[in-house]
Amino acid sequence: MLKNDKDNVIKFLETNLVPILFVIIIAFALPLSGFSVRYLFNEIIVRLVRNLFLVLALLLPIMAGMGLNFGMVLGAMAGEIGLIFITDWNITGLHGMFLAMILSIPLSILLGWMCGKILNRAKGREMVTSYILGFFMNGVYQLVVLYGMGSVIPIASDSIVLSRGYGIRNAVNLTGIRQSLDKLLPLKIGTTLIPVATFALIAVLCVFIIWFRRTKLGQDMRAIGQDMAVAEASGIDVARTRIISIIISTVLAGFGMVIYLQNIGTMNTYNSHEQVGMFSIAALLVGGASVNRAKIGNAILGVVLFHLMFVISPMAGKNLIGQAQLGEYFRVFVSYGVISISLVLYAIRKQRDKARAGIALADAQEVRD
Amino acid sequence: MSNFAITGNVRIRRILIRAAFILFMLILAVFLFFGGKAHTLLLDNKTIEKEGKIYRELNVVEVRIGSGKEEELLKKDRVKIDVSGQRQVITVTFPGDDGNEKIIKKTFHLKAGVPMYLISIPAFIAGADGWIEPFEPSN
Repeated sequence: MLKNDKDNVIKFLETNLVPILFVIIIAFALPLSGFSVRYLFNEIIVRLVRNLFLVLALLLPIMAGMGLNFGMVLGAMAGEIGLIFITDWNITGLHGMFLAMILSIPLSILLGWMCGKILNRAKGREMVTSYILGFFMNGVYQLVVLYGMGSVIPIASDSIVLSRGYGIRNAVNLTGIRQSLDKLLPLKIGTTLIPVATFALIAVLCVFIIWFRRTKLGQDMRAIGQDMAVAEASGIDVARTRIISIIISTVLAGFGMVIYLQNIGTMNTYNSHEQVGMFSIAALLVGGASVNRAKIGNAILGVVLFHLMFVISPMAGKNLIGQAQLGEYFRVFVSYGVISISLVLYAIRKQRDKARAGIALADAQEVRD
Repeated sequence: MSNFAITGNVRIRRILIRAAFILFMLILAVFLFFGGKAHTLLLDNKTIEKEGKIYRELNVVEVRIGSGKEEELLKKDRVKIDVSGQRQVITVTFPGDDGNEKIIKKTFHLKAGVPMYLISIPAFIAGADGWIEPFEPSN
């Protein structure tokens, strides 16, 4: 009985080591930062609205056993291209935001399909492959945006084209669509403004994910995630299903990027997408997800904890040793650190499970003999 | 290849659903493009001459576009307003000859390819043609 309890505690700690670690860091840094609860609540609402859609976009590939989709930056790039076009055409408000989303769909599907095809050739090494693929596509994106737009692809607006006549400026002002979704249905509670419409859109995505898990395709993905060989043997088209999961994730990442940038109001043309993948993945892992298991709750908890740390660490760093920059370094260090810890834990757990299964098999054989 | 053979009917239904989805997206995109297209309107309260007729500026006039903010224009004023969408409603409130307040409301359409329009309020009140014209800002 006692051994069982001990095992459960160990298992709980193993599964939730990263969130526990984060809670401890936050508990330590929170009083040092000196921020009020009201300020932090406001910040968390903003961060949830900005990032949650992007983080939720990662769930389907995990379900399909493809791990953390670093290739989501491809979708983010598609979203940015949609935003460049609507800025050039001067489409404002919600119309502009949704048009950018629609424009991103074909590009996201194409990039997602390409990514899925490549990942199917790199089974078992999906994460590192999608990570490098993100870098590769970043180069292609820069080539298209820096040299293709304004020369081959018509861009008329002087406000976004570089003075030489082609290429997009480093920063694109999105004032036309800035917070168009966030301010659609604002609910004021005290001094906090709750963007109900954005949360409603996120809720729709959550419902979609729950519904999707129950569909035939969703069940296929879960089967593939559990055991690819068994799924293949039972007649599931593994390659196709995996490609679909990556396509959906990429399309959702494109939407998420549009929501993210409409909240900020400025697009950093050549950098905005770069860290989106890493930060979203880190946030999901902080929420207690792992390479092969992630739920909506992990995404929500992850965004809250990860961004709470983001908000308080610079001030905590400043108050602790007099330098806010420490907090800035801390952010990046923690992001990479969290991903590393999660990957190491996943590998340890996998090896241990394998060993346990071996012992169980040996025991069963002994009993039979 | 999948172990499940896709029958002809399923294939046709799948193609039809995909075609309908693409068509819906295209229609939605067109609607969003025209509905969200931003235009700049210059509300102008200056004396102008059109086709030999002179339309005199008003001492004071209030103009509202759609449900936007009401703008008060004095003599020789020109106000810039940004609007979205092609269909717009202009409401002009001004003192009539009898001293009573008069209101004129009119719906007008903006062309997607024209980013800026000049609206002459005196011409609008007089009901003259060409009260709204495309405007090219001089560089």
